Amino acid sequence: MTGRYRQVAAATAVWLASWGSPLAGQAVGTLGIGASVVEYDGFLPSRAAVLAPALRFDAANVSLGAQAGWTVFESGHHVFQGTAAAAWLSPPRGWWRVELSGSAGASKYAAEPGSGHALGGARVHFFGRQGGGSLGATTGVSSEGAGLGRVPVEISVAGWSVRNRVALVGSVSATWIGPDRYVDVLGAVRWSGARVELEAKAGARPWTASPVRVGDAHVGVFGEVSALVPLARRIALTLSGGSYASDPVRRVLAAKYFTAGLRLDLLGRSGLPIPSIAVALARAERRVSADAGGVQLEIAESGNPRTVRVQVRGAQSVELMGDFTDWAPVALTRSGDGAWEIRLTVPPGVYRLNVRVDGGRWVAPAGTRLERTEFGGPVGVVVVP
Amino acid sequence: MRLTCGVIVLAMAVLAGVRPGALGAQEPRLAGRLPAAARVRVDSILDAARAAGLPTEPLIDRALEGAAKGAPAPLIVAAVARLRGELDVVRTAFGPATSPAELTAGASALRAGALGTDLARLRALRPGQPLTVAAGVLADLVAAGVPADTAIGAVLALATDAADADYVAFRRNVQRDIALGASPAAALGVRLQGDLATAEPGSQVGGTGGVRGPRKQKP
Repeated sequence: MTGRYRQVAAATAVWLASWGSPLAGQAVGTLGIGASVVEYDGFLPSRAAVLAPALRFDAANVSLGAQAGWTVFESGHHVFQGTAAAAWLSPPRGWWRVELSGSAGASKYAAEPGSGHALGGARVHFFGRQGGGSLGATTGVSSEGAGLGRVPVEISVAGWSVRNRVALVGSVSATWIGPDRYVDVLGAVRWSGARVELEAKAGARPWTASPVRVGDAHVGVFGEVSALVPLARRIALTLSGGSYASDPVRRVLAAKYFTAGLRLDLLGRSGLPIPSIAVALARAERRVSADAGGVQLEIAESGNPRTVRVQVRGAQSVELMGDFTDWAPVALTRSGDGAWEIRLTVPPGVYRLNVRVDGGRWVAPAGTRLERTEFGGPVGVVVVP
Repeated sequence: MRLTCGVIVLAMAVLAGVRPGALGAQEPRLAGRLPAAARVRVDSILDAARAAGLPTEPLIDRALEGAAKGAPAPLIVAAVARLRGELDVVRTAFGPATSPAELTAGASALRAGALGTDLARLRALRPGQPLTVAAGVLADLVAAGVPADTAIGAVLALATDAADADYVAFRRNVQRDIALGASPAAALGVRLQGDLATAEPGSQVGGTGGVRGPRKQKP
């Protein structure tokens, strides 16, 4: 389940709570056991075994939930992931109410550095008898390993409608995280029958502005279909498959998958949404200099003197100092929209440097390897071939 | 008479325990840049480095960096002394004919997690070839999140055939894969598998990225 779908599910949950959900004041615990075939973006398809416990408590104005997943791939690699979330709803004020929510999650894949996120959000819900909508914003921190986290901002607009046994949910969201910006459009329909519950989700990422990480937040369409078929009083068959988009905020890789499994209701009555027990890999943060502040450095790989170019928007002055300037600041010349250049003699080698914009602090620009120095603050290290 | 004066001057120098070649050099680039307290000690480190046959350029650069950043004298001296030690380790690993650029790159790799023995293996696998870029790329890979052992293994695996441009292309592709969402080790593994399988001596390993499709691996 991607972050967007969690938002959609949250919107549905809010509606349920506002109209006297049968889950109110109840705790529910389930365990999902399944087998998957999954193809993560950038990887070959792999079979996987999945174990996914989940807990949830719903009261009139409070919802608490926790979910974990342990996935073992045929390579022997494991993914552990866990998410906890809480939401508080204000008492209804006529046709609207406010939701404050927070969530935190972490994941660990094989021997890779773990990743995590901690997010908080506010949302205003508007509701009527058979439909409603919400407007919300979420922010927090998303981090990888010991690196400094990035601060995402998500703004979303959602609408829903419930008629008889069919629920429709749609949303549009815009996300900013680091240099990435993208828009997602999502829709979901759920039908609850006497012997089966079906859900279909479809979405598109029609626009993205990720000049480097185009493969991460790339334009595309995706969709999932899930079915929940009760087999006994506390056992249900779950089938789900499809594709979902990457979620840079929660560090979820895009994937295609099919999963078949069993859901065991261990605590309370059945009632959790159809679980999506395909577990996404933790994805790596782009390791750019954390202090770069949108400053990108390029050094021509051939010729001498070489063109040293710094990309930074909105600057009035850009200076550079480093090993090849005897650590004396040199001013760059504006050469275009957001581009500043200087021609310097830089023989092949490994160099340390810093860049300063508008007389501010010296930073290690993106495009260099960040190294903490004995002198305090970062320095950018660059290999010039 | 001229001869006499010359002998006297030489005799005085010998009496003072100083030979012309051992006179302490005052590095002109440091003049007016370093705090006085640091200047004397940095000059001393530079003298020792010269005596040991190490290049002083990287040490001067480090001192200037500290001065430019307003670091206190003890920090500047400590940083220069540390780098001097690292250069010594790298020269032992790379050999006596190592260039200043190679030494600097090797020191950078040491800081990233490589060992002197790793650098010695790199030298052995690339006899007679410059090591600046290979060592620098090694440091970059580790900094990009690739475990040090894995990065060292990859750089060594490419050491026999890869040209400097190949290393740069390899690093660029790995970093881009990471940026696209692959885990650092997986990105490196994918690129390495593809490159080792398809690279020809002197070719652009990894190509322009995407022209030669990387081999994927299972998660």
